[in-house]
Amino acid sequence: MRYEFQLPDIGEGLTEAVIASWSVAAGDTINEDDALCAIETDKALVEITAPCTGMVVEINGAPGETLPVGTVIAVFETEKPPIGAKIAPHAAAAPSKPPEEARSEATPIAAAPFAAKAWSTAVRATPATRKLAREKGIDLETVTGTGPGGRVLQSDVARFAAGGQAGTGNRFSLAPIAHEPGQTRRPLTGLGKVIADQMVRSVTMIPHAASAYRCEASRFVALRKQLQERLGVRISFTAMVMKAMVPALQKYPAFNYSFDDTTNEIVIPPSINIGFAAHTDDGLIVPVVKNCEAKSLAEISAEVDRLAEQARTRQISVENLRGGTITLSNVGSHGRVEITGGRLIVNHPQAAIIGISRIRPFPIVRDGQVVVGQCLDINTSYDHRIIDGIAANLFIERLVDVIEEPGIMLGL
Amino acid sequence: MADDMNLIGAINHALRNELQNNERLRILGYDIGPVGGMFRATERLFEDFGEDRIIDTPLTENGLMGMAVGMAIAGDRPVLEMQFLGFMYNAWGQLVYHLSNLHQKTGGAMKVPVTIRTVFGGGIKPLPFHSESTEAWLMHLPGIRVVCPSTPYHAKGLLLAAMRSDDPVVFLEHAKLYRSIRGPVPEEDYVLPLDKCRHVSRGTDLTVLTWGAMVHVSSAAAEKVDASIEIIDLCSLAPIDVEPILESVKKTGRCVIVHEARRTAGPAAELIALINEYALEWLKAPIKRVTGFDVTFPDTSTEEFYLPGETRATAAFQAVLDFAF
Repeated sequence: MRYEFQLPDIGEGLTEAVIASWSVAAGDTINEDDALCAIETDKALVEITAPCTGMVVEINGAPGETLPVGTVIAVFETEKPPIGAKIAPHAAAAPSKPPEEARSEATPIAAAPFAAKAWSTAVRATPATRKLAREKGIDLETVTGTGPGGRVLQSDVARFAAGGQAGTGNRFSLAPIAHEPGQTRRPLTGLGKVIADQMVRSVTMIPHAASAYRCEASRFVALRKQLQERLGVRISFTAMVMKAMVPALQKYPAFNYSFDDTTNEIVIPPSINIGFAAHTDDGLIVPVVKNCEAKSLAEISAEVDRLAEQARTRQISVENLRGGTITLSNVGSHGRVEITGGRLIVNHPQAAIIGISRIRPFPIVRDGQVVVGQCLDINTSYDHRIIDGIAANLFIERLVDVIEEPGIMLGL
Repeated sequence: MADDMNLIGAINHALRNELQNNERLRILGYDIGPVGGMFRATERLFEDFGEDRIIDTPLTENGLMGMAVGMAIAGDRPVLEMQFLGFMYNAWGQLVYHLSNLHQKTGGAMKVPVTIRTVFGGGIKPLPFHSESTEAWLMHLPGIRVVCPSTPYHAKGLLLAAMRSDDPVVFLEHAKLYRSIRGPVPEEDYVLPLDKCRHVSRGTDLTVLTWGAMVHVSSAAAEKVDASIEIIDLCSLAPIDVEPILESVKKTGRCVIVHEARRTAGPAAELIALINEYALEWLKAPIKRVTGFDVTFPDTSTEEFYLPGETRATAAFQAVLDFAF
């Protein structure tokens, strides 16, 4: 059958493109994904590949010519048009270019000029499912249907609402990586799958913004030493930062919020429950220290150590993994000391994540002099829907204040 | 005080009560006198109330219909026995030209309180035209009520209400139900509303709309399906009591209509249209119909294949329940 291939919208708000070159000519046979042509946009030179295997019947657009997106640039005769393709009407019988007269007199039914979407590619869903999607503010076009014939089910809508769908748009499709000799594969299962799903949920649902800061932590280090000596217990830096986060979160509580994507509501929790990333052989687990605002530093530190050990041995109860309102990641705990930062992924549906480096010597400027400081780098990513950059600055400044001069915690 | 009766007994009981209650009530039709009616609905009424009240007529349906209209205009309460719905087609002229529209044509000045009792439906292996389910033709006619009881209790209450109504009422009695079911019928006088449906069972997964003998087929089929099924007996086919139907469909999101009438432009089409118009958003599955086929009602040897039964009803219920949404 005949398949008309339109100049695709390759994103970035592209409305037109210049044909740069053709890799085929009319009459050539071509395999799916072979180079078809190159187009030039405002931003880049992009190679367009063949959408199907078959014979190129016609190509349209000379090199240098500007064409609007949606223009038919190639016509294929193919056994297997792309899935979801709109087949050219009466393709086999009709000449590819009907005479002007015939075109103008064509009946609407034959030419279907108003059909915004062919029935074969239209969303299939029951009225009840459409109602549900409308109530949740979800465009069914963007939901992958798992029912018979690709029907979108209420469970698909619910999964989408929870951020559990990988391909959220229909502008791009996911191409498999070719199987090649020597290559091995293993499925993602267990904790790895849980982490992967959670990360996709996070980056799909949350518009991330990020900021990075450096502070001087020598007094913080000294305090830790002093506390350990006086109290006779181990106090971890993770616990100290958690304790330092409490007054900052109380002053700027947006960092402690969550966002309910199913209802578009900001959720304001009654307590500060700080999750911390614990490394295990199978991947990261995030135990939660609940009610940090009501706990002493020694209590928090003991709980962090206990939960981290339970996480490492995979003995931790589900209850201790739930209810987090913000996450702290000690990104400096492993590897070399030079790490200064990186982009963190917010743990959906929380609003923010804080990453801390190891404390290590760096040159800093103090009173106009370059001196060696004990530096702690702080990175944060946050949900830009509910936290903006100024709010993030204010929050981190309050945290930095405490780290640089821990004594002020007494007054907060 | 309630006696167990079959449906024909309840009809006879209601007629006798109303003959005693209202001296302007007269029954007319053929074979209703000494014979006591084809199905014995008027048994012993001729003997007890005499020929002025129980008027045994020649076989002339259109003439009977016109006569009933005239009597009603003159102040009587005629109850016309049309022996079978299939015979009533002869009386369509008087029904359409006069009975159904005199009230509207006179700006409401004229009441035509005629009750037409007629036998419909298959399942008793009779002769041709004795098994018709053409209630859709009646539903399409404005100006008349169409009522159909499915139990002896409802037969008495609805028939008494029909005979006391100022509107023309076609009262559909299902032949198969006359003697196949028994139930308690209170001795005392009671009427049931002429324009209200009733819930045969309550459920949350599927709404089944039905009437007449199909109420019992649907109930039996529902027993065989592992789901919570709400069965509504329409009782009144004109007017349709639409609110409880919509409420039920909105609750369950699914609907099957079971009727004996033929499929094309049958009553189910109207019910589906109403649901489509007012409850579309709640639907989880396409509505299914379990109906007779688009053929003349077949002869006795094949009527069991024509009539919707438990197997067809169960299959439709299951299909609608299984539809992924």
